[in-house]
Amino acid sequence: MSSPYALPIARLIDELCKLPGVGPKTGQRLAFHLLHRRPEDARSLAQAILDATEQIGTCSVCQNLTDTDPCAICRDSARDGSVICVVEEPRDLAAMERTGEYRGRYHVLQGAISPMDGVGPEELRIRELLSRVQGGGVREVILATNTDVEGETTAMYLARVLKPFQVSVTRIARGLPVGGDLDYADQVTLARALEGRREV
Amino acid sequence: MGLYRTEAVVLRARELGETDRLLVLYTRSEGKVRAVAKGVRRPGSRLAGLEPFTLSELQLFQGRELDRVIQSQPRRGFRPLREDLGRLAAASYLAELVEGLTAERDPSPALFQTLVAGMALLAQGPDPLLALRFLELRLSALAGFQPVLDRCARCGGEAGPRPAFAPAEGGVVCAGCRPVSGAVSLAPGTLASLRFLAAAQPGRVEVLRLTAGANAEMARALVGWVSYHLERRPRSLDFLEALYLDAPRGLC
Repeated sequence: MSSPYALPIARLIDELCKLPGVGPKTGQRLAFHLLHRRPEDARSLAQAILDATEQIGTCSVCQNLTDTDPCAICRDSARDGSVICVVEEPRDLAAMERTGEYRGRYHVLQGAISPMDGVGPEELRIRELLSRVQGGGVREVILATNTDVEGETTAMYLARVLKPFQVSVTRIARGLPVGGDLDYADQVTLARALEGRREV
Repeated sequence: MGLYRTEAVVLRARELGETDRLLVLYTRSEGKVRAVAKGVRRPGSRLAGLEPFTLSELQLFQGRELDRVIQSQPRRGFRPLREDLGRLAAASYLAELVEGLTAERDPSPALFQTLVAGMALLAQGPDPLLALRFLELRLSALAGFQPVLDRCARCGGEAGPRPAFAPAEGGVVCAGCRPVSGAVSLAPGTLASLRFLAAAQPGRVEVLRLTAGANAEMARALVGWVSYHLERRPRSLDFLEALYLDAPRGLC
């Protein structure tokens, strides 16, 4: 079936529809929105997409996405290089940074082990982490993967492979979220919260 | 049907949108069901216990394509599955088997019970790999693929002194009927163990003690059996095998 739109519009809609969460209707709406804006806005958007895709690579140290290698965090001499916080995705690193509480370095795995989806340890940046730890100077590895099954699997796997090294391996605390309702917490969460209780 | 209430084990969970999760559930009353848990990834969400391998009492709303989880009350978390890598990998394999061997909305209370008993065995039992062998046999039987073990699946005669297991033939075959390829040789003791497991109650599985050789034979036979019926090798097996590779016991 031929598109009712002129070819350039149809192509734009087609490209937009390849984005996650964008269906044909949303694609049309976005395309017409772009067409109604000033041409320089469109150019600036196109340039931003190009710049990001062309200039961003992975940091050779922490595997985070970066435009310089090593990335700004790995180059920052004010940070404590003896502590590595391991996260699944770059957005998890951003979340940790927003806390403003952490002054060590990171390692981004670029995913989590998911046996059912056929994602094994070799698909992640685990080898790079091990060679960082092997390289020395690391005192503690903080496992800050998600608390879902994939994240727990990954954390347990990392704990196992990090065991031969002389580093302390810690896992972030799991328990009740701030503002959470005790009544609605599941048993595993509550049990963990109880275990991790602190004197006040 | 609209709103309904049932017990369910979460087989698989996948992120959906910003805060939702798409779940594959095996429910007691409806069988395998796909459902959305809205907002469950938000901190403080009131939908608790929707993590894989958890048994929960759920209230669901039947939708056209996907059901929706309205309320959840976790019943059993099978906590050791989350704290031991080997047990967790085994539970992933169990969940994958149930997902692969069942069709949507085709309830089987017996399969549901086996799934719950299986999660409990994997969480607490002393031998998760042996439990998996039992579960492979029981689940495939409940899904309609029971291997023939008491005689040769091909000629109907005795399995004889040198039996083999051939998935494409439907179970055990005698030496004369053994196909050129795709068969696993079984020691007579292994065949006896297979017969015992096929008839065992979940609580009795672990009275069985197997040698490393028998373990490996049984694993090859039964993994071959489920792979044949799933028409693919289960994905969780690679990780499971990698974990147990250096373990003293047989492979999975």
